Amino acid sequence: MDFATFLQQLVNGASLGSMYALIAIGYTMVYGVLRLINFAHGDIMMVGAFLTYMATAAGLPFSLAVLIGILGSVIVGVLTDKIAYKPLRNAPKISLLITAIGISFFLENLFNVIFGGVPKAFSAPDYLTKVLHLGEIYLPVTVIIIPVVTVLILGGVLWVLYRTKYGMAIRALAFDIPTVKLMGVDADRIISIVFALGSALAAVGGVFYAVSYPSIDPLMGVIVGLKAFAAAVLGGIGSVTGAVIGGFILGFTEIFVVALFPELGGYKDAFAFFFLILVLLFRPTGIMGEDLERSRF
Amino acid sequence: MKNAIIKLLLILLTLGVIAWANQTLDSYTLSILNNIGIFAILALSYNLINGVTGQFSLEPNGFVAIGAYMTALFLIPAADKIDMFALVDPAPVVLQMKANFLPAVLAGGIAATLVALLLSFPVFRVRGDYLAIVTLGFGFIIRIFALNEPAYTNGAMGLNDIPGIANFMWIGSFALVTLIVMLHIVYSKFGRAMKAVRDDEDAATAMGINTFRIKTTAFMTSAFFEGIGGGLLASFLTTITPDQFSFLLTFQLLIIIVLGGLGSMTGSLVATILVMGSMEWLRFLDDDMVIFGMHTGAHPGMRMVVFAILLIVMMLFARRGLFGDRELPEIFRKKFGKRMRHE
Amino acid sequence: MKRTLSIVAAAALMSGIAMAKDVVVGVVLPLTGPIAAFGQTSKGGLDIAYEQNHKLKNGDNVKLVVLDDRGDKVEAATAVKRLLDKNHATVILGEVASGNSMAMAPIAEKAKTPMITHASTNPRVTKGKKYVTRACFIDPFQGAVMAKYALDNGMKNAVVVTDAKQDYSVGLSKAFKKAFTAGGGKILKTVLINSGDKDFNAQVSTIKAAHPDIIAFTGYYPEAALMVKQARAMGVNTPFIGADGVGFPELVKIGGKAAEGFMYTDHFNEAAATSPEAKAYVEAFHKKYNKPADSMGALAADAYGMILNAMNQCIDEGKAPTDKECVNDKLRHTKGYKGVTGVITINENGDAVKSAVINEVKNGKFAYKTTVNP
Repeated sequence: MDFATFLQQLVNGASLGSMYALIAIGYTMVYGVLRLINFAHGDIMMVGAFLTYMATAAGLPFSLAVLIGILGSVIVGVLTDKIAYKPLRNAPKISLLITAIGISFFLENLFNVIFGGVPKAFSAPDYLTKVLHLGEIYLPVTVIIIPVVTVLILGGVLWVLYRTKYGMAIRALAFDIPTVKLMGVDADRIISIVFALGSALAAVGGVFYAVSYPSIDPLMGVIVGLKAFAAAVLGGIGSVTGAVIGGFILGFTEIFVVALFPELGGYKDAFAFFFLILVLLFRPTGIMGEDLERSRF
Repeated sequence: MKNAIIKLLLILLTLGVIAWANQTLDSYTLSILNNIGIFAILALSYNLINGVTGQFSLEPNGFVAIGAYMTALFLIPAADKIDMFALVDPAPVVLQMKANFLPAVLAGGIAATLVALLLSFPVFRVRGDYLAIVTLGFGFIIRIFALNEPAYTNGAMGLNDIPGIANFMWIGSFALVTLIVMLHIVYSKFGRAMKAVRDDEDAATAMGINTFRIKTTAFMTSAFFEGIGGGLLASFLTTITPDQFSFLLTFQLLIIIVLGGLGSMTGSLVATILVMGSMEWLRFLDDDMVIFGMHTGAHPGMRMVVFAILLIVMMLFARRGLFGDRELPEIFRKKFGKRMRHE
Repeated sequence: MKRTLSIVAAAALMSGIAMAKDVVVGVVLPLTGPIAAFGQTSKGGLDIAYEQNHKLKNGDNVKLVVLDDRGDKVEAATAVKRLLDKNHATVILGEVASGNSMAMAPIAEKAKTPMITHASTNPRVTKGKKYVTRACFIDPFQGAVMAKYALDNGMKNAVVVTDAKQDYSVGLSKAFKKAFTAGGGKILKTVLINSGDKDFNAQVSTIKAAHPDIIAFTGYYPEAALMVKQARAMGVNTPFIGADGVGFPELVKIGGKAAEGFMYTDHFNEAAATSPEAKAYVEAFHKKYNKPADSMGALAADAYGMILNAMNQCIDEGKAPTDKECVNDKLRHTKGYKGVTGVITINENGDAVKSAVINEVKNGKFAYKTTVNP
């Protein structure tokens, strides 16, 4: 690999990694509070991309379409919690997980019924699909925009968590739900906020994903969702900063293994799970996490 | 003593019915029965880890794949393998694999068991949800492996011309054996320990139960029968490709065990018949749509939406499924025997 | 109420004077599930062919019974058994995916019932089978056509892109490489992808560094569209050539301008349809669906036409159109059948020997380039 190709692959890795990071943040937030692997998170991302697609197809300007996509995802996410997860807060964990799988399957198949399984072409404005030339290096503008957005969002989320009273409530809930309730906090409202925030992040991730890879289909969230989860565990589940680090590690690994060992290209989707298993075997707390059972933000 | 005789007679009677069905029914009805038989084996064993032991896992598709490939490789003659492996030559060990039907199917089960043992180390080191995500990932990895190691699996081409030895006699008998073994486990000391782990792991540990051992044993037993189910599936279908062991398979099984009642083996059996039956029943709707000239492609996937809603609604309103975690005989006894207090 | 019923009954009797019987053609297609697009386009063509002709020479009616298998092997196998046992099908038509056809073939073989697949191109589908035929060419031929076209146009150095998840792609890559190297070309690199992947930047960078004359893409359209887009964005202007798996409108919709110039081999292009049979089909297709005729549908129409042709030949010989042995024999010995996709002859393996077309994306449309004969 010559130096130009190496730089190019570095750019490719940053681009992919920031995508995983963005989605992993939402995953880790919901997990941090509810200790629930929200299997539907990847599908919420799909919903965000599809709603944006529909809005642009209806002729709305892109920025408005994205807003609709985010709002729609927030509604779907919060409704999911109210309808499917809330009644099961005191039920065995397994019921919650099964319901989450059910929601995930429901969303995928519902969109499959409505839109069909054939991928749709996602059209984004030119300023997002431009490619810059830096000598021999080709730099899609999304490679710059996505990490910036990810860092901004990370900052925003950290600000909410550590500088607002909602954030304090969220962090408190992550420790102990019953006690926080006793202290007069409306736990359900806070949990709704967490879902709204998580779903909005998923939608933003979905839109950027669709901008970078402009082919969307009802199953687009499945693998990405799983990988984002693996990234979150790698970084230390429950840790927002860890999720970002995990996402970038995963992105760089995928790109460089494929670049250096093309014959391993078929195994690309497996890396995330190898990481997952390695982490569980040797450092169950992940990179940033402290204690798996009691992880915090 | 009296009980044992009744049990023996029941078993013999069931075997007789299976033999009769195998001889007399047409191939379509038999293929539905075979599907039910195979799914019953898978659902019963899946219920052991998910329902009885309460460890939410999502791996059956992976273990079924291992069993299916193992059995297929043992059954296909070496000459056919050389002819079939179009991408690369089969690995020497693949060519040496040769066995009769029963050992071939058992080998599938054993292979799945060993993999389960390996998996249990990372998975049961931590509590709870990681089992779900790791087993889900494992299902993906098995498929990726099957796709990328053509010397062992023939890659995406899959294996075909697998000797179709698995008839309803075999499949029905294996389903019966699975049911008997599972019921025995549930009623044994081991089964009670598994339920203790499910209901309160801390309490179980405090009682001196080695929860890691219990969970691993349940996981391995479950894997063994899932591998066997896979082997039977391979021989029944005569052709397998990596694709068919997708998460959809696991999802179907999940619906079955939830419907039957997590922890109830007889419930899983009844639910298998209901779900597999309704899959076919919905096909009658497809028929009608063609006859009346309606656009069949209008609702692709609607069946799956309905099943997903069914699963969610059941978890919300009827979490206990058909039988809760009790077995059919107990329910009969409660209903017709002594009046018991309502639950 | 009673009277209306008897009137209906009488009318039915009158019209049935010729005592025409129903001959059942059982069809298994993936109308739902991951490959539903292929099943639905197949059914679109089949419906046209059926509307054009469903009467046999002796006045018997052909009846189609279409079953959906969700693209699933287990369901495909069950569907065939159902068609045989419950619907008493004389012939089985289907499936699209080779894997599913291979699950069906042994059942048809065992029941000594002729089966014809319209679109399964894997050589093993018919291999060693006496009752299985196909209306399409096989992958080695398609791979050879791709190789020949590239070499004829002076492209000597190729990178092959293989979708490790698709038996179709894996088989096609192998055939392409064999024909390409035999013709004096050089394979610089093989790059692996997986269907469902969206990010091909790593692979594209690798391809770029290899400087090939041609990129042989053997997968399906969703990945083709994204890959060509990412390649063009990264300044890779090497031409792409693919096969019948890429010829779907989404290639252009998703690929946009980047898809321009993408070449691929296919079974059919309506611009190349000059025979009266093909013209009639294309006209009916436009009228019914108001869009260009696709190759899946055309192949299904041909498979159906070959079945009718075989049945009529049996009637000519004084045999019943439900005589499975006769129908199979005629199907396996189809010679010079003038179909929508060209002239079809079945060889001793049960595979169709026929021409392929090469198309190219031009101004967002699939333009016909040339026909390659076997």
